[in-house]
Amino acid sequence: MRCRKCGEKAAINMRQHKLALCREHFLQWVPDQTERFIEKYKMFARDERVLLAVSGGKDSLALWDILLRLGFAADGLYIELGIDGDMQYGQRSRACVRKFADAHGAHLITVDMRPKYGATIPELAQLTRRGKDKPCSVCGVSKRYIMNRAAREGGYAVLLTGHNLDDEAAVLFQNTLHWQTGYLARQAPVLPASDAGFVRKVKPLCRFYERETAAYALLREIDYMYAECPFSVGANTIYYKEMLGRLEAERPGAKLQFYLSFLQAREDGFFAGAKEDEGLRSCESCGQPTTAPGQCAFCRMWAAVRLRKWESRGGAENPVVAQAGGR
Amino acid sequence: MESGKYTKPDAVFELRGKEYKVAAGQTVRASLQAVDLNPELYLFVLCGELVTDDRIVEAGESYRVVAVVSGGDN
Repeated sequence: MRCRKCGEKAAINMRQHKLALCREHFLQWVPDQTERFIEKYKMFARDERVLLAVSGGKDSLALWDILLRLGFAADGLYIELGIDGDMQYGQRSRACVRKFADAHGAHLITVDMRPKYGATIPELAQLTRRGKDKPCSVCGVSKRYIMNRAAREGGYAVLLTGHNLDDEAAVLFQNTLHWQTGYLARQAPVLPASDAGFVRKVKPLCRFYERETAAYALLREIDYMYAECPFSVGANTIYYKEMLGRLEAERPGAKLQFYLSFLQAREDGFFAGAKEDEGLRSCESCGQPTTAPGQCAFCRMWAAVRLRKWESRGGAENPVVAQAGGR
Repeated sequence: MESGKYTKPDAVFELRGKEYKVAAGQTVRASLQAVDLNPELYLFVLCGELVTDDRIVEAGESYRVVAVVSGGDN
């Protein structure tokens, strides 16, 4: 197979676009497309301060690389989750992020769960009902909270994540299966900032297949964390991705069409349910936005943890600890 | 005594430390499908270079198969 642009041997074939490209032209095509999506969806302007959540995986590091190549001064945010296990997942992820930041002279902010909040993700999962048998849920709540808070406190205009099209299609499929109209209404390349305190969230890679972000990382020789999070085994999103992958193998472009058709339907008002700000209020403990009355999900989770710790000590100490914002 | 029966020589696909022997003479895509793996979910590296899945596998070649799926909470 030959590169459509120069006729050299192709490095990747993107069947959904009927486009094969060599290394050189693919590495040009990806940032070109990213810049096009940033402009098309009005994600952010060049003079805005942007914070990119980086995990050490291929998507976030590829996005960081693309942004720097495009001339955006993107800072990175790494959350030390304390997930290690046999494969030293956390240590290796952190090393990949650190190595990238050092090599590019990029600014990296690190938030360490244990000293900052009192427990790692595996510990939290053990201590909460929410995390029982599904630490991904505890991890998701924590990451969303910390990302928004770090962006707000750092004065960033926008928070970026490395979600790719496969991530988006898998979640879309899951939410469609359950007709989670609230979630469907909030799934978009850009979630605007809210008066209640959510920073703008954007996903510049949302139209790239996962194969493409992986290929980009490989071709740019980015040292990324290849091993999967030990807790992601059996995760719903992976199941749906594999299922959609089978569809894609038979019907090239099916995933892209699924996602783009959804975005069009959303734009046409099919999911114009609750407005973004509707029902949002400030958490009574930390001040971050939430739809729940009283405390946000993150603070409720920690309140439950403190109570459980207190009970396990025989109720010897007062469980009332400073609010989440003060830990 | 040799049977005289001709057997196609093998190539090797290596994925996450596991080796799959595949017959030469077919495409990378067909080879992967032959071992029940979906080519949409992998990339293929041969001698340090990314190759497309229409490449014909040759005897003695050793491919690194790179899984692209990652996931968890979104």
